[in-house]
Amino acid sequence: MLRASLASLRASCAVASISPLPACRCRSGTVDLILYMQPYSLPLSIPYERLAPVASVDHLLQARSGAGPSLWRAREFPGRSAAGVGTGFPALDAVLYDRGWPRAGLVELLCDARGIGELRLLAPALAALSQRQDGWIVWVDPPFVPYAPALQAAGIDLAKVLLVSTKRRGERLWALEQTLGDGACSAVLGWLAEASFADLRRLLLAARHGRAWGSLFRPAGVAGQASAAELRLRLAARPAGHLQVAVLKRRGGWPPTAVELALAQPAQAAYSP
Amino acid sequence: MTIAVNERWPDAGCAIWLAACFPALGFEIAATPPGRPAVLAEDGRVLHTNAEARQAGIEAGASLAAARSLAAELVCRRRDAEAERQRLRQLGLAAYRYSSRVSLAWPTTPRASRQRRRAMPPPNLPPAVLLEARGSLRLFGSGGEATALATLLRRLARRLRRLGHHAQLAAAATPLAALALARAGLEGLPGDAATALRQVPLMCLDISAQQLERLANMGLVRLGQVLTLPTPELGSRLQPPLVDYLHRLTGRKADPQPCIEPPEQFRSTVHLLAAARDLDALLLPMRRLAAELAHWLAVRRLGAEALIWELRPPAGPSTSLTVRFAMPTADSAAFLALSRLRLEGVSGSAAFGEVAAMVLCAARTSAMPQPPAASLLAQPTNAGTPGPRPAARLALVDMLAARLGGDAVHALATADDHRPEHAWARAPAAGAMPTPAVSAPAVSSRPLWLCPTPQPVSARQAATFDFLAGPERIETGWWDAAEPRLCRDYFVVATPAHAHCWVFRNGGSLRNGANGQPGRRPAQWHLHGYFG
Repeated sequence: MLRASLASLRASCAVASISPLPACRCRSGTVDLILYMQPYSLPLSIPYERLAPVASVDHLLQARSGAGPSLWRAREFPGRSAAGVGTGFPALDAVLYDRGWPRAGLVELLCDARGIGELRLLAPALAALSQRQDGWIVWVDPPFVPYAPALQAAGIDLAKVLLVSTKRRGERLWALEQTLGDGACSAVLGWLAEASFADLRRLLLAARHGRAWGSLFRPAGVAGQASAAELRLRLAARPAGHLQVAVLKRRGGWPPTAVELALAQPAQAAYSP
Repeated sequence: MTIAVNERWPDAGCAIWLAACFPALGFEIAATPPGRPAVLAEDGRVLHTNAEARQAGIEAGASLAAARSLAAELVCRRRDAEAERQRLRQLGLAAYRYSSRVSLAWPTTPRASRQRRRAMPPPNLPPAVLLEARGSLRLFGSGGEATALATLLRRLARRLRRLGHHAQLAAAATPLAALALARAGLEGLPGDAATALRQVPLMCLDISAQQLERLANMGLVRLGQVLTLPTPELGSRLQPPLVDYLHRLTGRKADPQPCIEPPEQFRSTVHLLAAARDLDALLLPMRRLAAELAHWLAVRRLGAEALIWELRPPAGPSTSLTVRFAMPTADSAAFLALSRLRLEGVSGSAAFGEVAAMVLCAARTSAMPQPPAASLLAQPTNAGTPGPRPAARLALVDMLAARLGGDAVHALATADDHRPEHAWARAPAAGAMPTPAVSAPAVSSRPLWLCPTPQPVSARQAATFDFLAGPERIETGWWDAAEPRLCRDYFVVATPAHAHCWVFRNGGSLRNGANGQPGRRPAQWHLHGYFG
């Protein structure tokens, strides 16, 4: 029976080898298996003949080829690198590929409402970046005024904050691409309602080139559109000041998950007559 | 032998020195509100007063405490000597159009000594601008030197008045004599300058308080009395520097003056053989001009902070484009790159048509910042703080400003004010500036998003709010006449959609709201921020 399921597995892998995705999901019997592979080495990574005498799936999971296990369970998301900027929320770090926000990459944050904690989600990482690195933290066309005393209270060094305001969409894309690709910025926050796949791809390449963490705030309605961003999160408010972060797309992980975070609450200002 | 005033003047061939002294320079640059008594003070002493203060009985030299007791709403400004020096230099540059030899006279002997021997030291001498007028008299009329000089004096006085300064003008054959006359306020005709000079009180001469006192003890108060005394005896009785001063004043000894030099300016023009219509055709002359400017700057060890490109069409008014740099730059490639971005931004909106000539000016130049001295033992400094160098950060600011406009890029700073709208400020992104630490109240009660203007919230919407924290009363601003006084009660609320907002109610009484709940009285609610 195992042999039969592995046969179907192999067939699925053969199909998957033509897709550019680095990982593919296969369904075999009642066990969800993910075949993790190096690009271009998929058909060779699990020789059918070698697998044949394997008594159980556990053996299969423990069998190692090269750097990592040949097979791993989908629900055990390994997290491949620890190169990211820690988000300050361990629950969120655990589901992100870099164990944090990417240092050189593009993140899409989809939310419609304001005041649900969309900045408090980023604030710990921005504070850490502003204190450790010399690069600018650029805000391109924020919808409101980033309030300097609150930023400072969150630990963000105001000397690194740069506000850029543009008039047209073309200028906005230009400013985002230039700041992401310049190498003088450690983080770029942008508010971009409409963007094509090609626009996002350009921004992603610029972020990789300039080694900057780009975050785009976009309306929730674009969740169905294709995006080149390597991480897409949908933010939704929950009662008691909690924020639900749904991972729509991430590197190296499947299926999508959601985590609920307890954010820092506004302090109670005492009234003294 | 006595010192004789130079009687030859104003004969031909003799220099004519004009002095413009500014008795109220410090007061004029300190902005004081009109209609209120105001004084300029230093070390607890009143230096200068305005008409309202004089009306209240305050005199120069009085102590500040006495002045405050005479006028309750006294506006007091502290003297800023450095600002006065800078302003004097600007006035000297303004006087440069009347003469090529302009020098600045700043009193060399401070009078207000800290010795307690005298109750009231003689007042400090006002600063002055000196200019030699003989060389430029011909430019001011041909009806003789006397009328030309009168014209020059009149125009100079008018120009200084337009700049907002009251000046006392005088003319004499030597710089020191003109200075003494101007400081004494003797605006006598040039013809009887020698007579007028004898009337100058010794207090107006640039000599030390000690010497003044010794002369006063001898019964000498006017310059004429001193000039009649025999020189060797005067020299033995007083210190030799005084005799030297008198010799220079009367012209027996040369008194060369250090002349100011106006800063050099770069301006170069290229005429195009064929009128250019697009950016590509302009790039070649731009490159030439940028290289020319870079060479000009490199020779002088200067850097440009702003460039002005002037695009002249064959007919009609020309277009000016300013390109600013966050730090002084002398690199032609940087000039070209940013200017090109600036031009691209303009050509997108088709602001210039045909261009027949291009002019490049360096609007502001300053000394290039010295690179830090390299040491053999220097550690790699960026090991601890990875990231771009400051120059790269500023280059990004320049690039964004060149394309998007100078006001599109700025940094943030906090301000020491408890009113929410005034607790932050836009700051130029030129350099990392230290921001003052924010004091009370607890800033974590402030939202990350602030609405530029508070947005009204309907009563129905306000009824759905869930009040989480508050009220926090923020009040007053009485010192700011331009803004209405605030009286607001701020609350942190959660909307039905679980968004956290910062709202306020224009407060009156808090009697109903003492338990943390809003009062019963219907009030207008405003949304002022989001806890983003």
